[in-house]
Amino acid sequence: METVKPTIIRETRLDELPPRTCAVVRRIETDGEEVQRLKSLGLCVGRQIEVVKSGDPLIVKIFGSRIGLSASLAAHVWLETCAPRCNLS
Amino acid sequence: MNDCHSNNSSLPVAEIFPRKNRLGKISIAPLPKRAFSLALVGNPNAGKTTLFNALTGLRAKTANFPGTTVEQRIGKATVGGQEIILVDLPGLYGLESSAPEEKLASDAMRGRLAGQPALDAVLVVVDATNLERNLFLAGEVLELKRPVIIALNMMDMAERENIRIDVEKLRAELGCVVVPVAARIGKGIDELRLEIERLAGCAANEPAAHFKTHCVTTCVTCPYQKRYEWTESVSAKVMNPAAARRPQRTEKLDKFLTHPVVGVAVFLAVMLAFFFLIFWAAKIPMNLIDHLFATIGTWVASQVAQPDLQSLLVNSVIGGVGGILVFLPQICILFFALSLLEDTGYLARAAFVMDKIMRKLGLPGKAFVPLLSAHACAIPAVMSARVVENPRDRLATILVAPLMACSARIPIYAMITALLFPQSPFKAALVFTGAYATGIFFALGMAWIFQRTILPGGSRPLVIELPPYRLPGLRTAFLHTFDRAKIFVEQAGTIILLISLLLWTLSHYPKSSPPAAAVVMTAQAAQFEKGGDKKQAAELRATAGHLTAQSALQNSFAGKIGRVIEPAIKPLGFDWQIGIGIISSFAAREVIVSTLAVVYGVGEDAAEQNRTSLYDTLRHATRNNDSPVFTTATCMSLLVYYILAAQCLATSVVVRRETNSLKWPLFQIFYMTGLAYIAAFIVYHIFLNFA
Repeated sequence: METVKPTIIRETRLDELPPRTCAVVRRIETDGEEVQRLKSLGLCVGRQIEVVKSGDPLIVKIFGSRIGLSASLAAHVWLETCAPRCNLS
Repeated sequence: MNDCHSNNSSLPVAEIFPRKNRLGKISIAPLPKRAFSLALVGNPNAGKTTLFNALTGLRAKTANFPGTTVEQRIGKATVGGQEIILVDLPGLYGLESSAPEEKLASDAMRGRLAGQPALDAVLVVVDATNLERNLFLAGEVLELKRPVIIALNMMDMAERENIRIDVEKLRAELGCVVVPVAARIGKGIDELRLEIERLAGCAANEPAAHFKTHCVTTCVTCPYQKRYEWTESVSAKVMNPAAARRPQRTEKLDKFLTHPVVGVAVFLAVMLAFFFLIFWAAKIPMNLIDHLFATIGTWVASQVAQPDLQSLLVNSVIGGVGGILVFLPQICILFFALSLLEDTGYLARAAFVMDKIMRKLGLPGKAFVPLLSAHACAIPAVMSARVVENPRDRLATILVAPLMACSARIPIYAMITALLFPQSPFKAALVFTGAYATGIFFALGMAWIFQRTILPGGSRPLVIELPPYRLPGLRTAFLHTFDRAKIFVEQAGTIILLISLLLWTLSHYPKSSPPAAAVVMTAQAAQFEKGGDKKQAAELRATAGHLTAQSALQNSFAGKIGRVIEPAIKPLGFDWQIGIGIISSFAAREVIVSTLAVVYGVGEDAAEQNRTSLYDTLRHATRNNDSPVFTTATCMSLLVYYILAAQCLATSVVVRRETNSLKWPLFQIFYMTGLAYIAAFIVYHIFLNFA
């Protein structure tokens, strides 16, 4: 399943992901009611997401739906930017 | 086929459709027929309520889940000549959620709720414009092996967005009945009824063998991940690829509406319009209701000669009913506007842009709506605190909302500013502004304190779905408004009426004979009348009437209580006559103005028609030692007291309903009155010593 080579894996925190960059969720650090809600809204490990608007709170696009979340919560979500639109320079 | 209904999950109608008797207790009427019951579940914003309304219409009522403040709507619908029961459960994203509302919805659907029996089948409402996400819940429900119908809602929107869904393929993928509908425009409802009828006809014979288990048991890492892979694969199979390209309208609008500056400006403009509606526009119907009840009162007064009965009917019963109904315009307008805001998707944006600002005050963005509404009236404000999802934040909002200056405080502020600065409109305006600012300051301050003391746990970070912008459904808004108004009249009405009766008794009993001066005046009036001087006679009669009313009130229970509490309110600069005002305005603060008018012998009418004579009398009122009663210090103290005190039992009754406890409204009365007492004490002594 994993097609990305380990050498180019770069993990970014969701609150630091620039807008219009697509990324795949790799891990979520905390748990709790909000994280569960995030997961049931589609923001869970393995999902491809895109930040529509950065800042605090920020807007994330998952599957066609848009979710607003606090940057403090986004800081616990680690992602891997994905090709081809990713910016690895 | 005969044993379709022998399924032991079928229930008597009455068990799921509890009726309230006159005492407000739930009684179970013995109905012989067993009705098929259907739970409506779906994501928030999937149009679940619209579909529910399309199926049931006005034949629905709102009830709390036992022991909670979470509501469900229970309605009846007729399919194929038989009556079935529909239960609209709170919106949920997944069955494993730990959020209280979602957990209740999930438990209720699965029949895990004590005191609430399992429902026969489940109708899952799926938003066709967001299939991938919505199928997550559908998948979870299907795995429960219960009879399921899927309503593929918002097909009209999907079509408009060029999303084409192969319903037949989706049926095959899910192995269950899928009915495409557009609840908003009433399309597909008949087909859905047919499918429900078929299911109801033989629910037991069709145990849901329609679904293959997917991953729940095998997933080691993230059950969500597997399930989302499944929803993605299903939607890829049944949907045209064009659907990947989403319309840009929502995104374009959001560029402005979620902007940190523009978004906030738009929000403030929207809120200003919203406030205008509940503050000013509501005045027209409110005045009409006031006028109507005054007219009825006058008419009844002319029909009933016996003075006690007349006063009871006019002041207590008719006045009390009018006093309840007068809240309806604000409640209706607020909930209608709020329903539209929510339905368009704007409310989610409002919560989003206000989150950062409100978070600094320890409250979520949506709390702005009830706190602003409280400036018109605390009752709709407390009722609208439901927009705040987190129970703790909602409670904090409910507790502080009545500190905001509501419109009932305006006559009191007007009276006090007139007493303080009769000649200076500028200073009067300053006092008014100060009164509003004090209310806001204490409300936010108390919210801050509560969050650090009695409501620990910290504010939860924001997670909110921003649904696509849509045209709001007027039918949904009307039904929602009707529902809220009904709840208020049914649940608050009786208690308010009882309290109004109690306060009337307190201020009318025990009865006392008219004072000697009044008797003399009445005799003189008769003399003048004989002599033909009707004007003089009428004047004397009026004065005699005022004196009688004054003495009756002073000798009543309220008067006695006023004297008893005098030592307690003396440190605030109040005498026992103001004490009577405080007692009688305990249920409705604005009553103090008319009570003071009676206490100081100007007559109740002066409070309505001739304010200057009331203010003049108050200004010249003296204590026993001939010093004026309404000094600057006493006026300021009274002002501060009425800014902060919880003198509104209608609010307390609504708080009781919304918190489902007696503890919180009592605590609210206690803390607000305590706060008012301390603040008034401090202000009185500052003005006494330094001004």
